[in-house]
Amino acid sequence: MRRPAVALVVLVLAAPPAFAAAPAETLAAAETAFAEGVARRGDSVNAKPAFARAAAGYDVLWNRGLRSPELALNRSRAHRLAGNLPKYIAALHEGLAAVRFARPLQVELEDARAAVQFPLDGELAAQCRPRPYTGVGTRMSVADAWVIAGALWLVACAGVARFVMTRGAVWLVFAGLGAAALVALGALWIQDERRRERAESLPLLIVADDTTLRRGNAPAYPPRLDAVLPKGAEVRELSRRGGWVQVQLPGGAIGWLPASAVIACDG
Amino acid sequence: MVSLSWPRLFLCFGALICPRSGAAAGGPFEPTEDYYGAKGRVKVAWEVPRATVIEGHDLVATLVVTGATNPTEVEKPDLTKLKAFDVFTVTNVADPPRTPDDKVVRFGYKLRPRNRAVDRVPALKFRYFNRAAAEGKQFPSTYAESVAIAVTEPPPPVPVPMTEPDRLFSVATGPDVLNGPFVPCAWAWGAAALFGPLAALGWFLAWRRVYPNGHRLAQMRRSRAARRATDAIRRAGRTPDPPAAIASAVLGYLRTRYPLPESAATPSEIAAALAESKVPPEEAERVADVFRGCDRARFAPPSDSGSSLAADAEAALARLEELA
Repeated sequence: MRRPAVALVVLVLAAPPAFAAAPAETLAAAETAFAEGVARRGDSVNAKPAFARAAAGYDVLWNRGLRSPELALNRSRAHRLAGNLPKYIAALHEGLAAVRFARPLQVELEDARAAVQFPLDGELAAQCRPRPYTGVGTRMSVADAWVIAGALWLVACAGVARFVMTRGAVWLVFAGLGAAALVALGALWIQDERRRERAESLPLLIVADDTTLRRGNAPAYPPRLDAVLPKGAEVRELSRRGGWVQVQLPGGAIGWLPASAVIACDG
Repeated sequence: MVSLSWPRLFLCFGALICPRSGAAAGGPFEPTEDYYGAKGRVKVAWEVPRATVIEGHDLVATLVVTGATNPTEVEKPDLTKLKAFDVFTVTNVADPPRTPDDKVVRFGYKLRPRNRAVDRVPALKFRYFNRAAAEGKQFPSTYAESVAIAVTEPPPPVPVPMTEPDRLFSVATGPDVLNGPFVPCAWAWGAAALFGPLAALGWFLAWRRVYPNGHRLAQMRRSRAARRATDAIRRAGRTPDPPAAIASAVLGYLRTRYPLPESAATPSEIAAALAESKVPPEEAERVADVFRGCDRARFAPPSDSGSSLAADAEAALARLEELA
């Protein structure tokens, strides 16, 4: 009698809460809100709250672990149209962390970066502008790599089989080319993974509002750069202390920002 | 029971020790409410240029004091302390400097109605000191009469269209949005690794089934002489005299692989030489038949095709390779 009771308790605890809407319902609500925002796009004051609702719905789905390029793109666009540029960039980074090969997300991120008010010249212009990274992992998905690697391996095996059939040396060359291409693909993939791990080892933060980068963790410290960091700038977190974050700019400059002036993202 | 507050006691004490400290030296004490230090025969009025105000906006109101003989000493009423003005958010406006000769004193205010129910600027009680009045009536009151106002609804804001690029307004819809991309698991990688060798093995087995002699031919090609002879036989079709080319290729192979004397040129001589080289007589005879077929094809009327000759020659080479 005791074992079924324990199983029942486990089932009850493991079951999702009844008030949590199903993903399909949340998606439908988000799409409705987005459509509402599109219908009101002639009046930004009325449209933005609708887009904000859509963004909140897409956030719920994303935080439930649903990862697809389309959802990432929808989510980021909803944030952008809701008027939240930093969250737009953060959502794109989070999307690319999950599906980094998605070309639409890459293009969207470039556009988002273009919308950030980076200075045109000066030290900040050199320090602040993120450097685009392109590796083999940004051009093909894991599934693409699986198909290509399988095809190359098949070519190599078929070349060997044909050589056994005909004893023609040309088939050995054919098999060798297939194997060499396979090894090259693997090497590129491993190198890309290592570079990515190095580049993204520190947490990414997005500047939520125009903020001065300071030399220390207090407003009394002098600015690290002449100009303020624009909203939407990307920085990497080094450490935290007393409500301040020590960050590194893409150009290598290090300084401190208030923790409230940045938002974190998984990318 | 009479209760006296500390300021009143202080005023009484002050009047006793310094009779001229009051507004009316030697006269009655100053009132503590609604008295702003004005002397003379004073009149007050509200001056409201616009009686209509939009909700959330300020109404400019000016308190005009006339008849004061001491214009520089008149204090500005603090409307924030008056209960009747709680319906407004009061902001004091800086007043112009006053001189003793001014006939009119103006106190400016900005009054923001707290809601749309506000319908008037309240009356303001204003006491002043009139020295000429009878004893006990030297602090009469006058009023700035209330002014009717109307608080109107704010006009609807002018809609500002969104200027973002059009492509941002389109998103993917439908249940596929929730489907993530296919990510091969370890089993999938294992299957891909196995698929290549298995497919190649299957192809090889099928090939052996379709071409039973193919495997022998392939093994035969291991011998350089056999490979050269086979290549020459396959190229014979492109020569002007294919039977002669086939015969020459087979003879060249035999001379390389077996100690054939130079004199062995006819099919019978070749068969005899092969028999001496421990080739089974029937096999030697079949090789000789290949040469006879070539001779027939060259000199007799056409009765045999070049392709069958080539096939016979390749088969003979394959059998000899197996014997070797």
